Amino acid sequence: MTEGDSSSADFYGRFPSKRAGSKADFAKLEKIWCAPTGWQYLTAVSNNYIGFYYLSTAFVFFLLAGILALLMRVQLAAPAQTFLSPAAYNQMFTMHGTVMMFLFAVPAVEAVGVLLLPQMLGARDLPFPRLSAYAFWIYLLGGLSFFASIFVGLAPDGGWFMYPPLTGRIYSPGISADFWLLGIGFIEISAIAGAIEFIVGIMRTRAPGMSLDKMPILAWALLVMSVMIIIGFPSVILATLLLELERAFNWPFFDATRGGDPLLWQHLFWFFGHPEVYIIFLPGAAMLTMVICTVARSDVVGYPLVVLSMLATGFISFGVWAHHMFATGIPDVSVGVFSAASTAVTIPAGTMVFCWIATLAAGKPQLNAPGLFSIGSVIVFVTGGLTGVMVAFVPFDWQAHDSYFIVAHLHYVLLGGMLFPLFAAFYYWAPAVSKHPLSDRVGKWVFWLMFIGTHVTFFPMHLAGLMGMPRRVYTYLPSQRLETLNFISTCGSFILAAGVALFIADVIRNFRFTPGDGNAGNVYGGGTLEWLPSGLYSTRSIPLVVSRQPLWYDRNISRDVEQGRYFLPRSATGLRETIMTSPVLAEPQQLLVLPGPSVWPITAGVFTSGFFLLLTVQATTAAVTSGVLAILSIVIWLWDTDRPISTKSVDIGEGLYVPTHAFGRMNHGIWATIALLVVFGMIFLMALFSLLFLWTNQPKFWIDPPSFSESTFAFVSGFLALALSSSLRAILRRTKNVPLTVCMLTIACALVIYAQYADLTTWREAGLAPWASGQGAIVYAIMAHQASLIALCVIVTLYAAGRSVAGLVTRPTSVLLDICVLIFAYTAAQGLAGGAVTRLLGAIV
Amino acid sequence: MGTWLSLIGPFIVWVAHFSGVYLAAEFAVETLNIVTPILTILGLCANAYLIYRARAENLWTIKIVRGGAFVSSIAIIWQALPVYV
Amino acid sequence: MFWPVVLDPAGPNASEIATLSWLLIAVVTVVFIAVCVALATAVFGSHRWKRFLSHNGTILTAGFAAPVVVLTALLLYSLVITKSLSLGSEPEYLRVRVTGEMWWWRVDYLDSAGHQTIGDANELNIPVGKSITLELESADVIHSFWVPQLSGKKEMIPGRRNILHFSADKAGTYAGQCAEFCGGPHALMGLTVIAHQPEDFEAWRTRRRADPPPPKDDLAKRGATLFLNSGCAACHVVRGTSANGEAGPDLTFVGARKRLAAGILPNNRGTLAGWVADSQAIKPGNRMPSYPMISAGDLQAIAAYLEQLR
Repeated sequence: MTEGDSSSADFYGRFPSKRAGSKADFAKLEKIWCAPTGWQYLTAVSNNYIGFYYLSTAFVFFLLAGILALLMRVQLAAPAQTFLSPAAYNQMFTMHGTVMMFLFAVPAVEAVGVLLLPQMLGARDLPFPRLSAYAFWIYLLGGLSFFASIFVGLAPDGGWFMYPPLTGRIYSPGISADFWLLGIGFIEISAIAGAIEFIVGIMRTRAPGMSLDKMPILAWALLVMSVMIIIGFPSVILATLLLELERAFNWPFFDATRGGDPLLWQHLFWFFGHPEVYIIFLPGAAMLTMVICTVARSDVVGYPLVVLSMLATGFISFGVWAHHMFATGIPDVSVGVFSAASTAVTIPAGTMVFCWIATLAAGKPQLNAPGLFSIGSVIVFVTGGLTGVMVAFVPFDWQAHDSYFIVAHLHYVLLGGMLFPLFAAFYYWAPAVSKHPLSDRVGKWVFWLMFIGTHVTFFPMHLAGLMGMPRRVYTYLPSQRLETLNFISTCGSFILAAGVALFIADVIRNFRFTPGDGNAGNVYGGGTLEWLPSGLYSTRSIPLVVSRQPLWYDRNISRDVEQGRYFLPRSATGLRETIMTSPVLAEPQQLLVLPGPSVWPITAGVFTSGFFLLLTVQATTAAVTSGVLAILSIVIWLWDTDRPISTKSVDIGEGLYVPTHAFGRMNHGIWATIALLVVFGMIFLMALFSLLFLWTNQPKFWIDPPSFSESTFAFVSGFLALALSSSLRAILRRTKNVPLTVCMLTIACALVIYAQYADLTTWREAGLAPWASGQGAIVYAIMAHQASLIALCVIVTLYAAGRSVAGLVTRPTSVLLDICVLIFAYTAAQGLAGGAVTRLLGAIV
Repeated sequence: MGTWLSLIGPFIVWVAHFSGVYLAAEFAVETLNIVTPILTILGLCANAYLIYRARAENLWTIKIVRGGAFVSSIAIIWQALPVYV
Repeated sequence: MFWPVVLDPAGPNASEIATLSWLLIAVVTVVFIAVCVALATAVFGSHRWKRFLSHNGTILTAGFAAPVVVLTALLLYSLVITKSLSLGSEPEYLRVRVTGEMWWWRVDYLDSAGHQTIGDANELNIPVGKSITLELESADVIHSFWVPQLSGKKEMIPGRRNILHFSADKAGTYAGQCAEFCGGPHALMGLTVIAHQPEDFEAWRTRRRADPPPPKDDLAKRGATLFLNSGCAACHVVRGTSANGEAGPDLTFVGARKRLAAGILPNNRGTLAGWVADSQAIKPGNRMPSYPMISAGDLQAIAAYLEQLR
């Protein structure tokens, strides 16, 4: 059924159906989604479990990084203390920042998404449950081993921003910086996996009728966040890879004496690093919005404005990265441009604040724990936002930059924009996952301790910064007269910690995670779908959505949903499944069959982590073995998905038949592949930016690139590969001949490999070596990126060949070949673009 | 997809303007005085066109497009200022 | 006692920023109070006020239109001063190259051809009311030059030369510190700027161009010999002697400095001796080894020698 087709709207009138769902169907549904027992907890892939594991792990990292913060506060309580050595302090502030940003904040908001999003959208699970499981396991294993480095004194100590040359191999010999680069680099895989999952989930698995203007705000925020992740994270992945190549193989990307530039790192890092703040903030703001709606008993006032603000923030936050570099001497006009964008990005935030105030004013706000936390968030966030406006203005930033003023600013923003909303969310949504709600009385105490603690800790830091206290200092001198302010801050940090400790006590006393055994239910009276009565299968039937707060709009909806009077009140195929809907109007299009529990995501997670960690300790053979095993595990996990199904179309209720497969652009696998290619494309784009940057900043290290005529073979075979894979798209639409397609893929594979080989040869003949100069380093890095895509091409070709031999590729229902062709076309195009740009820059003088 | 493009259109315009002005400021300062006014006028016109184009959409989409075009235009004007100040 | 140095400017650059800072502080304070009042009204206020706050028009006025107007004005103002601060107005009177090194500052006063005329460390002497140009460079990792009472900060980045123009309008001593994390004892990388009246500065400059007088008393003479023979000369310069090591700070007039070890200790015979004996305890990780093998008597002699280098 296509978008806007009126036939589905006619069907909507038949719901809720007159006839309730049968008991037998219900029993079957429960059995298909049954709770794991014993070891099965490790192989569970359902969002109810993975989401909970994910959130608990993130919270543990929050506590660990918090303890580091307390130790640092003790060291700074008085001047010239020796409680921590400079070496220990430097490791601790590096770990505090890194763990809070990479192992707590981003995973925590993603975890909230995994846990709540499917239910909020009326889906039975996320579209790629095994991918969520894999993402969780690499995050857990990678995170824990990364954190463990501090116990053996090997933790990275170059700051969470890892500026070279301090983190290069001259000033940071040893493996501590490698822990950061490889450890954090690969944990980003899990963030990206989650993002791809959310994009497809939010666009395609919403309950029927949930058009864009009826989407819960959290879904909007997670959608914007996910797109920001696939645009922003590739930049830090590239940066970490380049720095690791410099450290391991002496490729001078950031070495100014050999045609590199330390500023390149800062551009790449902050192109990710600043959007990162909004990646954390947007879901926080959305949780806040939803909690405020419920405690005020009012729908969001200015819903379009909130959505607009989130879209605006998502975009404009990519134009502010260099405000971390105002003092580096970058050209005046660019400083001004970034200052303007940094000012512009505050406007949507301001609009959102007034939407929250309006929503509170429109109802009768209750001052329960979630209510207090959300009002507190607004105050804390506004404080941080306003100091953010101050530092957007360049001259003020020249004073405030890298001082404690910034420490105050960023903690206010992150606590108000993410931590307080998260605690509001803990209290608000705990009844959705726990058998008992958390204690509202204790919650109020937790709030006041945390709220007072926050101000006592961080407010004096503004003043300390203006008094000249730089950031990242392990001590200060009595002559600086900073002791009183710092002592107050230290006291405050313990008040804040007391609040968190009390929260933990509350959790231990009241929180009981028993997803198979019901939950406390809608304690606060929320109006969105996650408050429908639910089990491991999510809701008994998937409701028709006609308003933004369905539970407030229709008092009978919970009963009707539970009696199976809406969509899909059973399992149509006997497997786990959910409804796929259209991206704008959410009209039912397809039944999506979901994979069930499997041991392979966790195995793949273990071996992926093994690969990176063994690489860190330079156990190359073991690392490669582990890497191969990781790929094998992923192949095996994929092997039993995408199976031919005998039923071609099924009744999802009231005689509305939808197919069990989707073709071409409708297919969720194609969507995910496109998202993945965007990630590769962004890495490529940032590599081209690096090339341009080094070329303009270090031209004297540049040699003449090989001419286009010398590189004819490379370009011709590249074009052939591109032409072949593009024409395959057209061919695939007509033919069902699988072996022929696989053969042509193999030829395309050979062509891209040859093109790459020819490209490499011409550069070597031109006399460029990767360790010779910045140009050599970046040109070879671009080729290495191409090589990794080619490796992916080889793997998917082998996989496609294997599956077609096993008879598992049935045209036209399987989209495996379409996915292969997409990857090939992209690879060939990227190879051509890379070859052309590396030759063009330098040819023009 | 059309609806989606309408929704984010004004911000795509902003991205184009930002990238143009930034790349000129960073890598080709001498072109800045020509590039900036051209891009700014183009950007503002593009936003006006997007508002015009969206008139057939539903009210909700129109609101988002109008608001987006407004924010995008303000940001565009602001980031052209440093060239003239 | 809590008066923030950023708001206590001693030069035109810092004053311009201080004025902007006060303006910003005033604006954000007003906005903060307004938001808190609105929030309190939304929760506790009367029905009428709550209705007013929940209007779309109110959101658009308070959350969109008002910020746009205020921010446009502030942005224009800040862009104007950004430009004037980075250009530097008056003709250059003094040019100094300050090089950030792992955990101290190399200070070279330059002549018009860019050659060093006076070498010094961790202390910058300038005349009041004259335009100063600093060439900021780095010998190893990124550092950042920050003397809050005189100017905003500017980073020192390997492979680049950043220029900072500023001047002082009051004679006095101003503390500075490295603001970019540079590893190890980054916290203890301080700097002193001394602004003299122009005629005092010229006198100072003449004095500094000459070599220091040779040691007079016996203790200092013995110290001079020990200094040359114990390895100190391998890393330090004392003009007029055979000490010509370039790795560490120039010690030609070390006795005249206000502070020792990059701004962290007062400078006297006791601290000089203490620093030589056990610099690693005072500033852990710094590049100068401790010399526990030097006897107390010898240490006193070296300290006496260094102290009279003024």
